[in-house]
Amino acid sequence: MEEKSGSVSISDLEKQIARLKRRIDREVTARKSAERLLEEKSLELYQSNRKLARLNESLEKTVHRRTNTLASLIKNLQTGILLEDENRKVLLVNEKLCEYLGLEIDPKQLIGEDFTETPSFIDIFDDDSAAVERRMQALYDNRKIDSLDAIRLKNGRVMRRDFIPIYSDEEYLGQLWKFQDITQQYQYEERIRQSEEKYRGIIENMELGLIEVDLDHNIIKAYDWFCDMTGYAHEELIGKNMRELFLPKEYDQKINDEDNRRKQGEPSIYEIQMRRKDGRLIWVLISGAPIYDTNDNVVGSIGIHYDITDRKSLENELREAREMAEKAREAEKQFLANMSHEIRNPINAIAGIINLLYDTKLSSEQLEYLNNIKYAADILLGLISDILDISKIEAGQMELNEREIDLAEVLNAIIQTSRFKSTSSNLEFNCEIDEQLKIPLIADPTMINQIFLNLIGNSIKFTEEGEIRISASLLKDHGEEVEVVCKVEDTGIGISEEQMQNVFEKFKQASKETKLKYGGTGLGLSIVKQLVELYQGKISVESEEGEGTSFIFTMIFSKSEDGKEINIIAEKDQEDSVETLKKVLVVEDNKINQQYLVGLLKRWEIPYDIANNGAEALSLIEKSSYDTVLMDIRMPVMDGYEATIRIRNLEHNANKHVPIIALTASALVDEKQKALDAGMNYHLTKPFAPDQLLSILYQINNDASGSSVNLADQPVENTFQFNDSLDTAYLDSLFGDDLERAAIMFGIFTRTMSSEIAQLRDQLAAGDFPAVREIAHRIKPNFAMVGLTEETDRMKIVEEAADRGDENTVRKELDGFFQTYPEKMSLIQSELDRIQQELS
Amino acid sequence: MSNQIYFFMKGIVFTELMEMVEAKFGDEVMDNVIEKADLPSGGAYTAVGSYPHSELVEVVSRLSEETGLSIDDLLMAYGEHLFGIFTKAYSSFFVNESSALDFLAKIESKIHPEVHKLYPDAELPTFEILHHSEEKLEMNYYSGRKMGKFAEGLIKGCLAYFNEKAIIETESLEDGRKVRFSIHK
Repeated sequence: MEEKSGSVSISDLEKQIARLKRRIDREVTARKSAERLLEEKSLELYQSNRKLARLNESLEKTVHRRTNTLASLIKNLQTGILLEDENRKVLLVNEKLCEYLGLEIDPKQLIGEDFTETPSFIDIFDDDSAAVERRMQALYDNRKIDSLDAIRLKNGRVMRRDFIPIYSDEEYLGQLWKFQDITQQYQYEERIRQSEEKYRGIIENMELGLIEVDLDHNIIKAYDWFCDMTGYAHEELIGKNMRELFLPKEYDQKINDEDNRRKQGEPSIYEIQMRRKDGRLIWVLISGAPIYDTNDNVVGSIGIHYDITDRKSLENELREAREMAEKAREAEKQFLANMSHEIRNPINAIAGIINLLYDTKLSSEQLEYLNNIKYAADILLGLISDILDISKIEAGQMELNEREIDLAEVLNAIIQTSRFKSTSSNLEFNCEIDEQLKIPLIADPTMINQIFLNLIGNSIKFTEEGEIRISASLLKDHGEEVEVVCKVEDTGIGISEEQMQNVFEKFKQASKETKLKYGGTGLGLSIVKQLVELYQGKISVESEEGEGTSFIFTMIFSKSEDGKEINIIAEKDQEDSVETLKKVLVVEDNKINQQYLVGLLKRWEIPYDIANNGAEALSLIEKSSYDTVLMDIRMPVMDGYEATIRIRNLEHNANKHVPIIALTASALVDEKQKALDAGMNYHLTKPFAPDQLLSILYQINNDASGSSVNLADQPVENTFQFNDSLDTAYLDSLFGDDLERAAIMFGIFTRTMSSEIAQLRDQLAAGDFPAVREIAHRIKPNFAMVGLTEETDRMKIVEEAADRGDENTVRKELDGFFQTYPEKMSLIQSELDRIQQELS
Repeated sequence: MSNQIYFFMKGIVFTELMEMVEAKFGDEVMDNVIEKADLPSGGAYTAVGSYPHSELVEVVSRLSEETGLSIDDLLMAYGEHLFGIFTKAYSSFFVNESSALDFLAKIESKIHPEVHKLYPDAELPTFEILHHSEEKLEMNYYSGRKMGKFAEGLIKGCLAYFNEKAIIETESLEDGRKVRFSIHK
């Protein structure tokens, strides 16, 4: 452009001028347009300002209105309000707050002040003022919403305080304090809390452990005593599972059952074991009840636990003690039964011989001795008899031998016998019977005799003079049965009140003095009580010391259906009535018993034959006919059972139905039953008094039809099996299930045989055949008693051969015997062991 | 023209363009361009007004004919020039800024909202940041006016302002309505 400037042409200049003119035009146009635009913007701005001014005015009005509304609202709120700015200067405070806090000041005066610097501000609070200040400072610092502080004021009010920080966007503007009067609510809560505390205290003091669990057994709350009981601390329990922590596995099912109950809303009480922290198991009684929420849904349960470990262990000890006592009692019973059994046989012999001795010629000195012996033997017999009675009753083996009776006649007979027996002339015996009882009744006359005779005997013992009276009257008529009340009264020394309490107990006598003075076993009244109970009765005693004693008892008897003529064994002239018996067969191996029986029969002038065993008896029966057979049970060669069965199976023999009286050494029902099962008709337990035999003989004489005994089928249960090498059939028939007897027999055998065998060996070696015969004869029956019947037979052969002088046979048989003897002996020994094992 | 979407641009873009044309090519070229161009405003521009985008396109097209330079080159050169003007006219935006990439990355989020406060009717392109690190910035440019080259010029001006060197790669998509920029050092 610089180049061109020198040679600028007019046309160029004109062009340039035109260009500049266009440019100026454009600038002017642009300026005007800019001016116009600015004018427009200015107007727009003015109008905007006007609009804003109006808007501001209306906003101010609105704000004013709203502020007034809010202020009046806050003023009238039933809540204390304090609004502060970020510097804790009061912006607003209402009258309610001043009223609540007890500030007698116009709220407006507080505006702009620091509220905490108000005079007496600190005095407002009942709580520690330093703590209040710390708490407020913390709220100021945190600047977060906070509520639910319950503040107690000095004026007694309780306030709920809310702290509400105020922010605008992120800028902190101040805070609002809100106070609400919750005094009443607080008091209610306090009362509820105190009540809860009280009951909790009561339960804790009762040593009951409380625990609350949810539906899954997680522990929600545990109380002190529960913690003590289980050894855990609170914090160890909360949230733990109750089942896992405490319950042994075996209670799972039980707890499931309890859960189901609880879900149904049922409370319950049960006992389980729980494991303590130290592993020890304790017994607890739990009372569980469901917990409900506000909608009545079961949400868990509360359990009250009571430690019953001590009680449980006491229970166990008591049970063990009781079991031991029962075992001891059982052993005592067994002992008594066994002892009496053992003693019975020798006494039988003694009593028998005494009776025989009375029939011989005696010097006065001898008679006196004999009386003394008889007195002692009678006491012994009474004792044994009582003990056996008790044993039988207690073992449930007492058999009631019931028949139709006339109670009046039975009682009359009893009082007559008593009067006769009594040696005192100062005693009067009377009997009184209700007219209504003169009907046939079904009863066991022996029992009735025993009851009354025992009581009368007792009365006689303690009554020196006066009256002994028995009576019976109808208490109640039950239709088929009658209830009878009986009395035995005396005018004796009486019984003291304290002694009355145990008169019916075994072996309990009034006192040691009584025992020494009056003697007796102390069993009599106990037996009476048990016999009365057999007839569903009760017995009691009334007494006044020095005045007398009354025993009162009841019994229930069946009425006789057909009411046929009363047929009882009365006291009759027995000497006459047995004269018609032509001949009696005595089957008895024991020489002493033989003598006793023969003595009696001679006295009664009844003809007799003697058989030493069943086999002999059979051969006699085939030759002649008998009215009665007295059959011992245990005999060599053939026992009483077998002999009886053979007799009953005889063909074309007059003796087939002969009455057979079993003579047994045992009074047990089983033994008697066995005898009856074998076909015997009567039963006498040795030792027996002459009267007892006589009364049976009288019955046989009168009653040709024989049996008065009702034979019941009682299968004998015998679990013990004898060794097959022994004669088991014989042993079973011999002992039945009476293993005790078997034990005794086997015991005797093992103890005595060795010396006998040694003697036999010596005599054989010495060649003394008469002595050998004697021993063989003596030991012959012993083998059969333990089932070695072959040995018995062998001894028989030896005995017979010795008799013939057949020394070869004797040697041959005895050699064989000695060869097998040790083996047989050890067999018997092992059988004895087995029997004893079975018995224990 | 009437079929096209009618975009307006701020007056400063036109006044600065005119000043640059006059300074670089002389008043005769500028007069020729205005005389030949079909401009409803008649080329009388003021910074306080707004003018249709089409006028810018018309002016640049005429200038291209007049000078023989391509439209793209012209737009890019003007963009670079204009950024320099912006840094002076709107210096408040550049206080506390120290990095070209950081500045570019916040045009969409920080600068444009401010521009809208000043000029509520301003029509601005949109930037979408795809990647941003110290060494590299990737972003998409969206504008119905297809002013990708102009934008590229502005980016160059930005780098020059911060006195930084970087390679600018562009990829034009959707007929120029979308341009991917990759600026890396």
